[in-house]
Amino acid sequence: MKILAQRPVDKGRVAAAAIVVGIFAAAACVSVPDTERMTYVGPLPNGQTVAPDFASYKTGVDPYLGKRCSTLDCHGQLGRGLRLFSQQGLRAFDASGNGSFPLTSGKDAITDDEVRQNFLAVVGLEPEVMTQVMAGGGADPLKLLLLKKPLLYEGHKGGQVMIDTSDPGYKCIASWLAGSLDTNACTKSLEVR
Amino acid sequence: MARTILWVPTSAYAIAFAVAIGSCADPVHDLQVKALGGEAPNIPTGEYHRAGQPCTTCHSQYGPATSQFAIGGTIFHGPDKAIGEEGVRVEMVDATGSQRNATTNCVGNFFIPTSDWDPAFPVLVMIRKGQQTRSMNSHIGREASCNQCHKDPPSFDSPGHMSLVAVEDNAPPPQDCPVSPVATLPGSR
Repeated sequence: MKILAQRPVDKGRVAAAAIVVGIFAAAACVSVPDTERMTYVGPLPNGQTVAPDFASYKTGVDPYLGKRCSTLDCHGQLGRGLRLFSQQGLRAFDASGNGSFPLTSGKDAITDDEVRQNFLAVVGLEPEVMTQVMAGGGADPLKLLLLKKPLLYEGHKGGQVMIDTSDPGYKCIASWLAGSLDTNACTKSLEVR
Repeated sequence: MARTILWVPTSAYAIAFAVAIGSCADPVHDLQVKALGGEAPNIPTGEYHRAGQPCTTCHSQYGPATSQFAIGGTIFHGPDKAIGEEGVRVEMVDATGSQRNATTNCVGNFFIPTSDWDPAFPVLVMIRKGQQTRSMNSHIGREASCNQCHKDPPSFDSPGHMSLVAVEDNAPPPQDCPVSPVATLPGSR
C-alpha cells in the first residue's frame, strides 16, 4: 500500500470537466412539456363557467366533507393543503377588528364564511386541473386529487374513504363538478359512518 | 501497477458517522416529547401519570416509552374541572366493525395496547358509566391520542377535554386513588 501521490492540478482540464458536468446537470432538469397544461381565465365561448357552483357546494358537498374529512386529526388542521372548517373540527380565524378565533370547536354552528373558505380550499387545491375539469363539463373528475386520494388512486394518509365510484360521496362531488348536484347521493353520503 | 488507496482523515469518518446518526433522529418528535414537560411531583411513571396529555406522543413506535398504545386518553368528570372519572367504559368500533372496550382508572386514564388491537380508522367512540352515556359527535380519523384534540382550554382547534357529563356538577373526586385524581391542565378551572 502506498499513499496516492499528489500531482499538479491541470486547471484547464478541471474547468473543462466542470463545464461538461454542468451541461449534463442542466439537461437533467429539463422536462418534457406538459401539453395538457393550461390556465384559462374568463368565460368559455359557449358561456359555460369554469368555476364550480358555490350554492350547490354549500348545500350538498360541504356537509359531506365536513362530516367525513374535516376532523381535527385529518383535514381540520391549518397546515393542510385541503384545509376544512367544520362545527366539530377546526374553526376559522376572523380577520376583522383585531383578529381572533371567535368560534369554538364542537359548539358554534358553521358559518357562511367558513363554508366559503372551504369552497376556496377545494377549488384552489389544484387550480389548473380544476379549470381543465370544469372546461370539460366535469366529465373527468378523476383528474382531481380531491377524488383520487379518497379512492386511494393516490396515496392518502387517511386511507380509503370512498369504496369506488359508486360511493355516495363520490357521486355527490362528481355530480357537483358536472353541474348537476345529485342531492340523493349527497344525503346518502351523510348516512355513511 | 501498484495498488493505491485514497487516504481519508480519521476525523472524516467520525463526521460521516455523526451525520448518519443525526439523520435518523426526528427533531419534530423530539420537540413534541420535550413540550410535554417533566413528570408531575408524587406521580410515578405508570398508568396514573400524565392524565390529560397525549399518550401516544411517547407510547408509539417512536418512543421514548417502551409500551405502545393503539388508542389512549383521559376521561374527566365534568367539562370545567380536570377531575378524573373512574370506571368509565370507553367503547370503540373501527371501520371493519372490530370492537374494543377499555375502562378508566381513578385519574381517568385508559389505553389499549397495540398488541391487543390494530384498528382500521375511522373509529367511533362512546363512553358509558351507569346510566350516563356520551357519544363522540365525529369519528376519530387516525389520531391515537384522544387528548391530542381534546385539550384545554376549548378553542378554535379543540372542543376541550373529554368529560362524562356535559355540565359541571361538583361531584366528589374518586376516593382511594393512589395519586391525586385532579390533573393540572392549562385552561381547566
